[in-house]
Amino acid sequence: MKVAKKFAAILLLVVASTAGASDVEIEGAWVREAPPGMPMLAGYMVVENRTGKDLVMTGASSPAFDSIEMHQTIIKDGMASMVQQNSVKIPARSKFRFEPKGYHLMLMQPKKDLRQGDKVNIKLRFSNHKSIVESFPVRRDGGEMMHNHEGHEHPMEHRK
Amino acid sequence: MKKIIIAIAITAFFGAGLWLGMVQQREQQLEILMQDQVVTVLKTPRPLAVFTLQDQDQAKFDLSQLQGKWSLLFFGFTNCPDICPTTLSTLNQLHGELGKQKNGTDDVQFIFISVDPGRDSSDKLKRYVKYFNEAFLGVTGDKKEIARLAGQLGAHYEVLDKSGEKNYGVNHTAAIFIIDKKGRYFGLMSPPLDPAAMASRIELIKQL
Repeated sequence: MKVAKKFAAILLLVVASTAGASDVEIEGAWVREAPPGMPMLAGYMVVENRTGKDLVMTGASSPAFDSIEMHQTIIKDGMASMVQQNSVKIPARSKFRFEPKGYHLMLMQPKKDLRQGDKVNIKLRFSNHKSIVESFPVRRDGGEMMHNHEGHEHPMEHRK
Repeated sequence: MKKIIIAIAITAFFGAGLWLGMVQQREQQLEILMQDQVVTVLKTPRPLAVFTLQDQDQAKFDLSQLQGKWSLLFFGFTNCPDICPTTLSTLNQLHGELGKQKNGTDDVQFIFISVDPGRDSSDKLKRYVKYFNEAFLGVTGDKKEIARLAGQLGAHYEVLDKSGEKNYGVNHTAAIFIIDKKGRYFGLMSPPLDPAAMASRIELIKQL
């Protein structure tokens, strides 16, 4: 019995230590190119949490910007507002979308004007997972309908 | 085509602010128009009272600039990283879609109105709107005058600049307002904004 317990503990440790690189994946990351001189940009991505536990994202930072905040755009009674998020929960075994008119990274005071083709590294912090540094390409936006891909979970039901 | 035009006229005749979608049940022939809630048309277009703002070249922009063409108005601010650029990109797509239609874009103007004149100079607005489309106009001005125009459209906004911070937020209506060629409030389009769907409605509305 004691051996079995020990074995289980070791097994847990092994599982925990191997669950590193591929248990949380960032897909489709991009930063929206803005007109020159604009002090605020937005970054988008899909965070895939392949673990069995909820993942809690607590913030982001990048050498390319003064600071980064997490925000959610909410359209309520026809009014659009941005609500800062101190943490964002990514439920177990799910994909969470940061996308136009929804959750986004608010990238403040870029150190230089970013143009399509540039790339910026952004470090994503989690309370219960090691940080992930992801390369975000900068690109022009084609409009909101381009981002309404089918077959993904959607944090905000603004589609009809 | 004629049926659809008549259908729109009927719709325009119904109650103010009536969702076109509601008509679907009554008028089967409206189906092509009524797939979704794209546009709301006022029962009777509402004439606008005078206001005075400035365009991106610091020229006077008043009610007369809203006459002679159809106008699409969007209220926002340039320090807006998400919804404003997304909407302006969508309007750029709409501009492209309208360009494919019979009547094109010659009689339609796209106007971005900044409700944040404290940070949005004409110069900044010019760089901002022209980035999305050369034909877009950027308008702002005295706070009272912005309120005068916005109030007539029921376009709500709230500038949260009381904290003395530079990075204050602005809440604003997400709708696109439609002004007819006579400078009257004609209707509005609400999110989600689909360029092709909006273009087809505008094309039909223009033929009324």
